Amino acid sequence: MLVSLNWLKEFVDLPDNLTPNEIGQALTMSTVEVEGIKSQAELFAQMVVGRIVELKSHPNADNLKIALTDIGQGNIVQIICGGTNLFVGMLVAVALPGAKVRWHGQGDLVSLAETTIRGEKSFGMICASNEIGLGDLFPAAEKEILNLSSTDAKPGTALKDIFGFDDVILDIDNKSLTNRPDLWGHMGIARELAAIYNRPYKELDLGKIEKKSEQKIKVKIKSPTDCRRYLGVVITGVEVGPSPIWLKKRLESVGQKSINNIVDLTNYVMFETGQPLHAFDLKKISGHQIIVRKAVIGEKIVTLDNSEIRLDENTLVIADNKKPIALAGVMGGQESGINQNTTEIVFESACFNPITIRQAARNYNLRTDSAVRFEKGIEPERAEIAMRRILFLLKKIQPNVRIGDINDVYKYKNKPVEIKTDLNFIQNRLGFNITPEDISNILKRLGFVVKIKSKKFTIIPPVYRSLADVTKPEDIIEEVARIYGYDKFKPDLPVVKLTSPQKSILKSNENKIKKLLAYGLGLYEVINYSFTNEKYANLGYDFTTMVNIKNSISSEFTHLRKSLLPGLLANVAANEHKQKDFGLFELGRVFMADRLSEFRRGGNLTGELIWQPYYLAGVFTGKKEQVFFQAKGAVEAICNHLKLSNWELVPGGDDVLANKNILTLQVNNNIVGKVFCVADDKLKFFDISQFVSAWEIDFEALVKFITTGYNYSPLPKYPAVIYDLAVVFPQDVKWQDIEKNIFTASDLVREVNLFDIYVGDKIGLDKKSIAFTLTFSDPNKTLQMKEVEKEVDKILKKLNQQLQGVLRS
Amino acid sequence: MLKDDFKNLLKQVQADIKSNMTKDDWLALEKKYLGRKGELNKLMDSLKTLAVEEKREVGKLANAVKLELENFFHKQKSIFNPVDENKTFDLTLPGEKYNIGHLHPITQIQEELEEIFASMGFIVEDGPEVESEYYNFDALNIPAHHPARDMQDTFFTAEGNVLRTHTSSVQVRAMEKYGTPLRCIVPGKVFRNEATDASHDHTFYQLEGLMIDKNISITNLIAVMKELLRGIFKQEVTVRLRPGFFPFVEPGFELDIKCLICRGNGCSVCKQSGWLELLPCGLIHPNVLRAGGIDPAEWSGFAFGLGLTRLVMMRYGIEDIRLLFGNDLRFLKQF
Repeated sequence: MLVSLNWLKEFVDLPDNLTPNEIGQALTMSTVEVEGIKSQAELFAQMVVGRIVELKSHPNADNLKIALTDIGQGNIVQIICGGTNLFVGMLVAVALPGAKVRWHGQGDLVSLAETTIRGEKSFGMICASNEIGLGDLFPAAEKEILNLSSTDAKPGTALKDIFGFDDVILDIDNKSLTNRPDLWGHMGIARELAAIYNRPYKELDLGKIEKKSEQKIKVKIKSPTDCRRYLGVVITGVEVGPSPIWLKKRLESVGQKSINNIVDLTNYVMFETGQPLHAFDLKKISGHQIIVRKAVIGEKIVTLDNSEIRLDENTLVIADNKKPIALAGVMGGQESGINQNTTEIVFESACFNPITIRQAARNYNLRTDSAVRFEKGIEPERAEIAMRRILFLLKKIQPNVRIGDINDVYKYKNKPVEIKTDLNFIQNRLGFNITPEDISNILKRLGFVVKIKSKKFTIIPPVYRSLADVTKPEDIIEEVARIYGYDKFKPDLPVVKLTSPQKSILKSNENKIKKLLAYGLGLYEVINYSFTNEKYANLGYDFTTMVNIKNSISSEFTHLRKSLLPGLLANVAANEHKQKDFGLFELGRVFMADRLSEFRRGGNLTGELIWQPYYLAGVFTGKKEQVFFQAKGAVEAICNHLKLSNWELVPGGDDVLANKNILTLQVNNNIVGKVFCVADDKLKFFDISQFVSAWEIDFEALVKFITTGYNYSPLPKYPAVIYDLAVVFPQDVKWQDIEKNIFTASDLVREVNLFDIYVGDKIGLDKKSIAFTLTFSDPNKTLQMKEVEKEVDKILKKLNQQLQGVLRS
Repeated sequence: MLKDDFKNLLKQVQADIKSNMTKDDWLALEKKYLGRKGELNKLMDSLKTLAVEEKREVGKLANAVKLELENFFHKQKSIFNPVDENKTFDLTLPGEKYNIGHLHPITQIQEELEEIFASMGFIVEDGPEVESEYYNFDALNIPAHHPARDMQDTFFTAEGNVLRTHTSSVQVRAMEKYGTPLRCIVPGKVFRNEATDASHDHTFYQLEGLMIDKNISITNLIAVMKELLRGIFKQEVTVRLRPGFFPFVEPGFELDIKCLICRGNGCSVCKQSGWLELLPCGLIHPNVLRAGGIDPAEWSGFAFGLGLTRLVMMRYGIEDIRLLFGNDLRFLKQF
């Protein structure tokens, strides 16, 4: 919201020595966030009045002229100009080099520099009104230069001085006004400044209304919960036309275009009081009757922005005895609007239900200045103030209008709010011992009525604060604190009982595993968006079990992922040309619509939220076989690092991305994950040219198997004996079976470690030679070589019987 | 036996050592035993004659003897050439390239914060990302049709839940789970239906904090926040509190810190204001305490929200938020 400092000064005399920055700062620190401060004078920097002394035609362009222009103090400069209304002796607005203008009134501001146009030097620019932001004040035809001759100003006079552009505009963050319906106009902001600087606040001049006509508009509120108060008045003898300059300038300063004097007045009073108003053409109101009611299905209205809206039955409309003539609180209807021929008008000032207005504004996507204000909840009392103010102003600009009776329908009045609290509570929440006098003074400055009786407070907030914003003792804390000044609060660490924070099993293992994967295994951690889309259905995912986003931001992000792997494969595709052979991992939630979690939906909502566990997944790129075993090794490392017992990787399993090389991770016979090679057609889908292996674990399920605490194994008392063997097996024998047979053959084997696999014609092409190291030890004595050799014999025999293994010679 | 011959070799060498041997004497002696036709190789040759199993055993011994002799002569020679070794290699060659991976910068800063809070007695709590409207809005004193719902553009799921718009959604869940007194933080992913640009993304990370105890005050809040910020920035930071509106706190504040780059003089990072908006916070609204089953007459507390993503960007000078979820390895490698 834009706020004019000159406008504010109509309501409060601020200390003279204050700079606009200080005022902005004070509002930021005590009330609302001021996001920017702009001085109007800056917009007209380097702009002066010039007088055209001589006009020549441009030698190289038919449409351009060379204007020798007096810019004051005897300086005459050459400016190239395409204006059609130039004449010698004309006073014009000259933008000198360094000034900021908007070319042809369009686009962004650009900074001028001395330049050459078609071979002729040009020192600045002779401006049209819309090029220097005065298009509204001085409407002009195309290529028509702003004629300042009527001002009789001396050449060289600064442009800002001619028009009195001495205002400073504060830009206030609308979000910080969400809870303050009283601040949506200059009146409210001025009241705050009066409280902050402890200066008197000057009430709005409402004058006295002399009734000059008997005309009255009939008003009927059929939906009293949606409209608590409605004021309507008929005015005749109105002349619709351009607004006076002061009105145009005020609206311009807060970013509102001038339309005509009547509409401008409604806007002016809205920016002043925060109360939206509306003007109807009386002749267009059938039966001279206003009915505030819900729309009937099928009814339509063409709004002021010239769009036809089909109304639903929840929409509140202002209707005459035939049809809707305005979307209540949101936008007027085009037909009943003010035009050049209007002579009799109806002003509306009303109090609507914020929820009703908000829903309509959202439904029809009309976030108008009016709707934004009504949805915050304006107190009904303001409707009357605004009505009296607009009549006062109308009389000021058109003394001859005839004002009729105000019809004020107001049945359900608020009871005044009374807040009871005590000194103790206020001191406890603030954290220091503020005096009752300080509290009382601050509240009174803000317009509150305060009664104190033996440290107990009874506080009545002003009516413009009491609807929603100040209703309970906590709200009083805020009022006192912000005006007292947060900069005066001294930090004070709380005194609390010492407790050691507990950590969930998931949280306490999350960082542990991330560090293992990154710093131990050398992987990169990535974080992907949680979204996916139906394009991935081509991979084989069942989209009926995925969570669908109703209002997705783009077709890329229509669903929530149920696996981390597509994201990781997309990362591989994006990086494989920049880096070779790498591993990635991600830990994050995945979402499944066909299963419920333990998270209750809470409140009055029944049931639980969908299943959304943390998954841990990774990929490796490189050469085919090697990457698979990297992935398998990663999963093994995770299980070992978490000290899981009773886990195994079992051949078989399925994943839409996998080819047949897949293992399933089981812990205590529960399936919790998988390791596999990504199938060729899936790699092609992602446009990946390397081999990729992948693994994915239900991390929440996995950590549940972690057992706390374990005992170390005592170191062996007697030395171990290492023995290497190379055994030739048929090709299809699995290492898992070799290992199993070795352990069953000998009780003294502690470890079996594979170190080489040889396949080649030396041993026959249907064979493979497996070399491994055996570690033997006996807990009770030092093993003799002969005993070891006996064990080796047993092992070789077993391998031969079970797997046709033969010692390689 | 050959085995004994190997063992004797060591004794023979000892016997051959004389006092005052020159470098050449040592070289000659080394050649006698370790040369191509030296004593050791002679014995090695006879290994061939042994049976396979014996060969294995004696071979092992032979290797041990060889190693011992080599070490012995190497040591003796180095007495004569003490600096030789250091001169023989190029110290400027690159060191071994160990493959160390990288944790995402968000993970790193998050862990750092978790540690700071744990040291102050805060539990690290977690909550669902697909959340109910109740916990995301209603329980936080943001009823349906309240304009405050517009402050956060929300993603809705087809079955009528939302993607949490803030980690504040865990406030009431934590109150229900742990009761009072309570100190907890909730780091995590949040979602807003917003157009993406260099400083906005539809997905980002927040860290919510909550402290409930007896008589918690505004001055307590300021003190804890200052302590926290000192932990994060590893230096004393100047803070200022100003009013801010968040429906789940009353009063609500924006906490700004004096810009650490320009020290408050104004620079591009703080948009010339000298202050950085960092931490929305406030005393927990009585309605929120009630929703969590806590009596506001007996307990009070404060809540705050840290933009984790923003903190990461500040820490490393990252100017485009989209880099954080772009997962370019050239980016991730830097952390």
